[in-house]
Amino acid sequence: MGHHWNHSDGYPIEHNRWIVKRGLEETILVLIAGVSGCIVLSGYFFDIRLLNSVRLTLLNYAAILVGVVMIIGGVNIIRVHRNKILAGSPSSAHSLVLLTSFFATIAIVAFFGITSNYSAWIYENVLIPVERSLLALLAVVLLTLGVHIRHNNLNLFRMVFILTVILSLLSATEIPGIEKLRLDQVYQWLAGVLSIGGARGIILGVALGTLAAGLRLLMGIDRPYSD
Amino acid sequence: MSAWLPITINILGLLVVVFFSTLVYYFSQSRKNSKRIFERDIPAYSKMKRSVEVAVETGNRMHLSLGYGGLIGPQAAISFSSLKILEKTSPHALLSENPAIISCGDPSLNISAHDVLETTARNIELDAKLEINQNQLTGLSPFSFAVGALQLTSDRKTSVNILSGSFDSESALMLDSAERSEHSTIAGSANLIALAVFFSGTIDPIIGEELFAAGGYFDPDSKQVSGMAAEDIFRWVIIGIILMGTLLNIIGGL
Repeated sequence: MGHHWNHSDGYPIEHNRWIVKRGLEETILVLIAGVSGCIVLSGYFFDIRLLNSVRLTLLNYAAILVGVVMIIGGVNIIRVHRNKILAGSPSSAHSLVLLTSFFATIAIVAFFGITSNYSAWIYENVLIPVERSLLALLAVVLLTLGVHIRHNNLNLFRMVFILTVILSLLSATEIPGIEKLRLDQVYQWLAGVLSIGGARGIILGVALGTLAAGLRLLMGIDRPYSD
Repeated sequence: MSAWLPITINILGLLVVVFFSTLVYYFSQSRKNSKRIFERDIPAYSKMKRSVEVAVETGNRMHLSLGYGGLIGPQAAISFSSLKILEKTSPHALLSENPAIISCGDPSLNISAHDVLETTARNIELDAKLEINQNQLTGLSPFSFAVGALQLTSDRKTSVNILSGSFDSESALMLDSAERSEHSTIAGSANLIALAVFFSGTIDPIIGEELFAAGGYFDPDSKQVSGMAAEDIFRWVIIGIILMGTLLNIIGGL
């Protein structure tokens, strides 16, 4: 291995140029991010007319930016698939279909309007059937993954997971004689007590992580916008 | 009473934010203490480092899928954590004969990922120019994003797939494709359905809050660890409150 993980910055040592310059530009960016974040956050705690007005204005700016970003995203899709077609990659036929559909949809929606019958036809006869068939495929794929779970280090947690899945499936089926086992009550306990407890634990952890990540950004400890 | 309730909740919320901020600030100044509190092994990150190194050595590719969550909205924190994984793995993965490929389902995430790749390429003084195909917006809805990324997960030049960010049940399609191609797969999400899928489809999934530990795990000396240490303390406070509530409930019922 010609390089290794450098704990001071994560870069290979021989390529290490990670000297952060805290210049004026960065200070301005940190200030903009911090002040905007604080205004939006304080709007959740204090009901002051001026504060709400500034908060709404900032959120409107964010909404406009999202719109612009969608256009840039569309350009990325076009460029990536144009490159694939020009390079003659094995999936160039897929890319051609994608680009044709992309432009055809934009033309129809732009010309006839988003609420026109033509736009609705695309939505109902192309988008929904394709997504439904993918959903059907997903059911089979999930079953395959469930069967393959035994390949992935069958430890105690995975055995509990498999047992829970089997119990849940059995409680939902109507096999003669199985009602005597009262699996529906076991399932209700699993779904109502254990799974809710576990889910709450995970969600609490995620909420704390989200809070920490947000505060690090507001306090300028994390500066993803200034590298 | 009802008129005071929203104000009380607001004050409580504000107190939580102030207390948490104080902890984050304290630990960012006292890294020794934060490192002592935040000491844990997350096998998925060790495997991630190893897999990326092997991919670079063998001239193969790392595919990092950042999910479809954007940078505006409730998924933003997860997306920033996934970008942190990109920031820490890309200096290695870009050096491979087949450099890293990124996929995502949100335009703002796509732009940020491009920014991270460009910064990394500049910092490691990469000779080769970044290609447009290295950072792909594969779709804008969860299903179109997953189906668009299938080609990257099963690519024969790819040897490691990292799925980190906002996913849902459709991530099973990506996992299945990676498994069929016999690629090493590391996956993590904060979504409960995606977690169930990852738990059955990968050996060491990154579960919920562990995603936020990416920066601290890759770089234990950084200020990233401050948030992790504050989280750990706050978690014990919440556990204490829950236990006390349960106890009071039991006592009240007697």
